[in-house]
Amino acid sequence: MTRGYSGGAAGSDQLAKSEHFTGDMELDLRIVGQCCERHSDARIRELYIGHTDIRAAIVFIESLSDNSEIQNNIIRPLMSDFAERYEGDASYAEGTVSGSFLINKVLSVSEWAAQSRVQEVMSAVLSGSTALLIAGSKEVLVLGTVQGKARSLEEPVSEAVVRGARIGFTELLSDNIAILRQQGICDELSVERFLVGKRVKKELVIAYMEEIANPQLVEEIKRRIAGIDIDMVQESGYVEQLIEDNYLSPFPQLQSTERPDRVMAALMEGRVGILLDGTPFALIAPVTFSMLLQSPEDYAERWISGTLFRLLRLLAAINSLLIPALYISFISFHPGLIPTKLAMSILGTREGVPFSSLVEALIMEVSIEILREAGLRLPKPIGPAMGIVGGLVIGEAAVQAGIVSPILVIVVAVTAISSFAIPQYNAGITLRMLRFIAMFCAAVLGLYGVVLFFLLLCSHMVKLKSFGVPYASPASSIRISDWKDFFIRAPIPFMKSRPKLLHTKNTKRKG
Amino acid sequence: MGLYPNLKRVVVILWLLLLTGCWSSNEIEDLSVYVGIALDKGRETAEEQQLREQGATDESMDRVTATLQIISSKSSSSGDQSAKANQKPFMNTAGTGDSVFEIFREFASRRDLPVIGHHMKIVVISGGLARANRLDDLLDFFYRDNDIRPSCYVVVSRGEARKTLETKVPGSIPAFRLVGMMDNRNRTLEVIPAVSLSKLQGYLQSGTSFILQNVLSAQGEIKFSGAAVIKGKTKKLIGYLNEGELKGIVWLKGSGKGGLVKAYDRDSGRAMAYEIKSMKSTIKSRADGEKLSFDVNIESEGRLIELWNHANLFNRPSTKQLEAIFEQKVRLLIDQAIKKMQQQYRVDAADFGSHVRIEHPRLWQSVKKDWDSVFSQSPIHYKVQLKITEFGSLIN
Repeated sequence: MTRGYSGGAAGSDQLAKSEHFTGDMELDLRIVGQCCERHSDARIRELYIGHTDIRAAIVFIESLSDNSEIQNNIIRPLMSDFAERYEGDASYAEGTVSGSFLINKVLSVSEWAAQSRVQEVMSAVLSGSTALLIAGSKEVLVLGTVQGKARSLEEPVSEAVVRGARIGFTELLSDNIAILRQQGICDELSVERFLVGKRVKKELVIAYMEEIANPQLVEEIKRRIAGIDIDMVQESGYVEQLIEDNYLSPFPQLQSTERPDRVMAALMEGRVGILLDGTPFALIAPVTFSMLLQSPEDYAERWISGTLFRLLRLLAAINSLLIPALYISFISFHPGLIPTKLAMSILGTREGVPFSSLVEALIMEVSIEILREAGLRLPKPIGPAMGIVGGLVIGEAAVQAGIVSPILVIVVAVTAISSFAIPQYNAGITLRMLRFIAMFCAAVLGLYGVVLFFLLLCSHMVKLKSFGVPYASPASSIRISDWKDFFIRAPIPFMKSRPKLLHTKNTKRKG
Repeated sequence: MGLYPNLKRVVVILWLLLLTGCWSSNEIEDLSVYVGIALDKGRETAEEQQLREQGATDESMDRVTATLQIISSKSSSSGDQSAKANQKPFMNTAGTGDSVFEIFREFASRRDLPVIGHHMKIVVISGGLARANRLDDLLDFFYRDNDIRPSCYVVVSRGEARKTLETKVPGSIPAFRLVGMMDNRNRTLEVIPAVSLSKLQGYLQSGTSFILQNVLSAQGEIKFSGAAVIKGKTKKLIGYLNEGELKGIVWLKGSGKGGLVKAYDRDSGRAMAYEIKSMKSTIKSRADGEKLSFDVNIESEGRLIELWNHANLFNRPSTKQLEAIFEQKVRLLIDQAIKKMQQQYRVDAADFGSHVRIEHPRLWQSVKKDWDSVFSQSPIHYKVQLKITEFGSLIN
């Protein structure tokens, strides 16, 4: 398959120098030498090909290319004796060798392209390809000799599961596509390439199921990706932020995941996966809020436990969002709503605490956020020790010193643990941010404020859309048939159709 | 501002919220939670007298003394355990006046922490006060106040109500003890269904007579004993039922959840006891023209739980005889109760009226105005049938 490394891709640089290779070896070498002035790792190797006097040169970046491949599959065949056979070839021309002959009969390299523009050739060389200049030919052969620097496949760190595949994406896009294809034999899996970034180009791939995904959705995602106009896309987070619907919303509108099985499952529902070179995090679009509380394990385990885990996570999400706010509103506004015995013990423990419940809760919540942040930065062996020091020692000492009440320490601990139970890291962050807003609402208006906050949050979620799909669906824009895979996870025999809200081409999942 | 068209709006909303501040915010530790209240006939406490002598004016007629049981937070804190054991977890404070609300607000000038009534569990009204004042007057404030819950219970104390809110047991809170005792209905017939403020309101509105649990106190100990009878017309207390009479009413209504019947063997005079497993009574009203009568059929199953008759091995009463003895005892209790209701107090304290209302609604219209006296004239026929179904593991 012909693979144009730089030609023809969407958004190719219009400002590229129109300087072409000439076919005059001396001149061409000067051009290349000029281009390679600032690239000290570039190598230019001149040679005579096929035991003749025809000059040629190969240009490559030593550190990026597969040197043994260059040695064995390019240099050695080129310097072998093929001139006699060439003289009988249809493309024979005096004083030169045609590129097509070399590709077809001499070079044992799988990827190649013919290119005459200096700019294009050089950018291919700088990404690891090898350029072959032949005297008398204006076309330069660009040969694929890229050797990616990759780590081995590992278990995804941020989304561990007990049951399920242990493989995670890596930084190398070609590996990631391979992993995705290895999920199963399927000729429907479409993988479309894009180059994003203006100054530093990066490969980006959108993957979808040809026969399932809604073509309008695919078109919309392509349109938005084509619209990315930025120097460099460093991580898939850039893509996410550049193509999401609402940048003011606290909710993530694309799901990021390290898990190929998760991406594959999403594709099977008719969603679209976006993979970027250089990051193990793939994006899934469109996303609904309920997806952020789901884990691939829900499907791997039997439906009863899957359902219970989901309900548990929902509870954890509500806990993580509202518990401190409820604490504040009960303590400061509605002592009558606390059961009497509990009220008595709270009364006793709050005796002598100098702060109002909001300040008290803010102190503890902020310090636990700092703890978490510090724990992330610390080297792995120190992290847990830090947690113990922070959580236990500071909590206990704060209670002993009478700065906070022991009930609050419980509240903060339950909240923190709940927020860790959210399977999606970025959804957890969202809830943590919103928690502070809820706390302020509670401190200003009590339970009424919490209710108002919750209503505002709900109305925002209902209004928010991710690539045309309502974020709160299937709860609002209600589709009862999609509820089989919502709070509960119905037995797989009952889940016969794909989610309706995605308007897939093909709706039947199971006979 | 041109860049951020919404910024102005956001700032204004934030200002609005922040300017109002945390209105109606009141931290729980800055409040005094009271859990019980005793209403007595007005009699100033020693502190109040001294305060008045120093110039605290009070123009009210001392009708009511309200004693509040306030949870003292210091005691329930996680402090020194030994210090905690010696401290009382509550504090009783009394105030006197002729308006209950005024008494409550007086506490604001006597205590740093304002009192809140969300957690009030029980009102104890002294018999003397209830005899002299209508219950709806006494309790008016409790219905109007939006702190106090209508689920709060009401009991009467024949003695001083404030004494029932005292205890000698360290660490226990008398108001909770009173409420907890109301749950013991499966163990004794002396505890009648608790009457909450909301239920009481129903009685007061409909004008029926009813009974309220009576609680006695002595030296920090308390006991549920008998009941106070409230006359529907006057809404005042007109007398008491002793324990036996109360049990008679419970048997008539079949409302007991458990308890015992103690009787004596005819020959030996020794005690024997029947533990009630179930109790059921069906009351039917019969109208013969203007003349009303009631047929009550009482059935009960239970176990023979105690029999002091082992010396008399060969002359043991048979089960039938035992049942007859217990039935006789129950009949005695019922007779006492009926006599008290119909002849002494002349009120319907056992809710016979509602049977007439349901079964003879037309007749009820004509008699309901003067129901208590009609009831006093209506004969009550009853049958008692006890069945001993268990004897325990004693080998006969």
